[in-house]
Amino acid sequence: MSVEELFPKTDMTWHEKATKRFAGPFVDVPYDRIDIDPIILAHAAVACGYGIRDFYEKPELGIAAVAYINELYDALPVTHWFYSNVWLPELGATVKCTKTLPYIVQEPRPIQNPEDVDKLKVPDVDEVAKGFTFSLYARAYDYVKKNLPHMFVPIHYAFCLYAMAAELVGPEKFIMWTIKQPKLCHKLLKKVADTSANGAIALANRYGFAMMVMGGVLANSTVLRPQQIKEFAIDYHRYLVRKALKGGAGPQLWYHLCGDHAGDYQLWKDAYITPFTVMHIGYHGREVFPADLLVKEFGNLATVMPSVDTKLLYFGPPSAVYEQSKKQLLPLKEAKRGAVLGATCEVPPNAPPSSILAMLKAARDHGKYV
Amino acid sequence: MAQKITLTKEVEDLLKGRGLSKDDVAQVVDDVEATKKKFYLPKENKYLGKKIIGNVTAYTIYSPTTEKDVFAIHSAYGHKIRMKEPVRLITEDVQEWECFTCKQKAVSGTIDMEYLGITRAAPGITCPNCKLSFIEEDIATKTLVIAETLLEKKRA
Repeated sequence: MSVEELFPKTDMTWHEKATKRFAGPFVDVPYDRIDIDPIILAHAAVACGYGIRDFYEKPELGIAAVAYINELYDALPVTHWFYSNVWLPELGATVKCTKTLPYIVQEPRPIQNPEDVDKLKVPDVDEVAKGFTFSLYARAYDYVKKNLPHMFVPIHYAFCLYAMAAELVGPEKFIMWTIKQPKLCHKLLKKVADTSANGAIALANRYGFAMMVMGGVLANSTVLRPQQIKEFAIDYHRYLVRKALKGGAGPQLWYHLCGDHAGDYQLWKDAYITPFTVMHIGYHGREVFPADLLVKEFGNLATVMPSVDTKLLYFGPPSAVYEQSKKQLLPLKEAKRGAVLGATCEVPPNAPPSSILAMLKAARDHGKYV
Repeated sequence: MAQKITLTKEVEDLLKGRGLSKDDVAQVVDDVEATKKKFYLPKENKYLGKKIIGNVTAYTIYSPTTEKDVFAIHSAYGHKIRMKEPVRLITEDVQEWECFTCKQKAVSGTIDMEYLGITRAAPGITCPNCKLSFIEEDIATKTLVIAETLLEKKRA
């Protein structure tokens, strides 16, 4: 069976309503309730009876499964497909999927010593467009454009530039370099940011625009001091976004700040903001980042996306997911530029559907605009 | 006093492609030279000015010529989304443009913009002293053009 034959056609009545709901936060036209986006990726494949590996190695299947599951969960009217270690094969890394994990960088890492950073060549836009990462994205987006055009949004996923650089070197070694050889880190981060920007421009060249998803994942308050997060993460995200916008990417920006950002969240106010920017923060210390604080700090700058803890989504019970969702939903009516309820990170692939349905129930019960 | 402007065929074509006329550009230069509300790029001897014409904020990049009150036009662009005010300045991100009046280097920042009654932020450059603000050419012609289209589509 071809991928097109695996899933029932989209219910366009649902899609019309979901589209109005999805557009609401960005255009100040509240529809019925706050949307939920538990960041569904490999969970969709698993929920449809496939494996995690299928999701990553078969982008057409993966993105079609997300589209179908989004409809079943009454979530987003658009579909997506991405993973974390993007644009690294273009910089010499070998990546491989496992049964339970997305593409992981294999040993030996391409950067073994400081001299390797100097030797590293940034692929230009044409070279990136012929590379491993882009070819996977193109398979996913070409499939959607052809078969599910109503759910099409090309996304450039940048992940966390600091984490991407760390993957090329090895995370522990790179963190040590951050402390002992900061100039070397800057040199590598610039090359990673340039490569990622070229990826965004390549996608924009092919599809006309490219929503950019960026993260502060390894660059979080548990690992780095706030000043280091500014110097090694935020400044490079600014550089990346500026270059990518100049090349035609954007205008949608989604900042996905995974991990603990208790000490650095204020600094992200200096990130590039466009009319379609979502600010999503996972944790404040060990707790979910409070929605009321997110609204207070970012509600006048961007659409905010507070979270439900992924650990809770995995372990449940549904009643606890419901209560946390409710707590995070209630302050969102004060968000002047709209809000979406998310998860602290990608919903775990094996999370029970009852958890997401509990989020949905909470949004229906407590996320209504009127 | 009406300023005279000169522009190459390439610039004239660029204006047409962006829905602006020679008269629009002349209006911008006239207004900016009267008010002196403009940015200056010392190393290229260029000015950046703007004027709201109808429902478009039109920008012009131009230089003085050897002839008095004659200006050479390098580029022009516009956006329909209306600028409100800067909401955040990133003072360490110093730009090459400087405020003609305040003689201070512009800094990048976030500016509130309004379109179809919807207020959202966009990246721009601002004088840290008088807060005179501009949207740069590539942001206006790429990012904001798509943003305007999306706002129109999503609002519909």
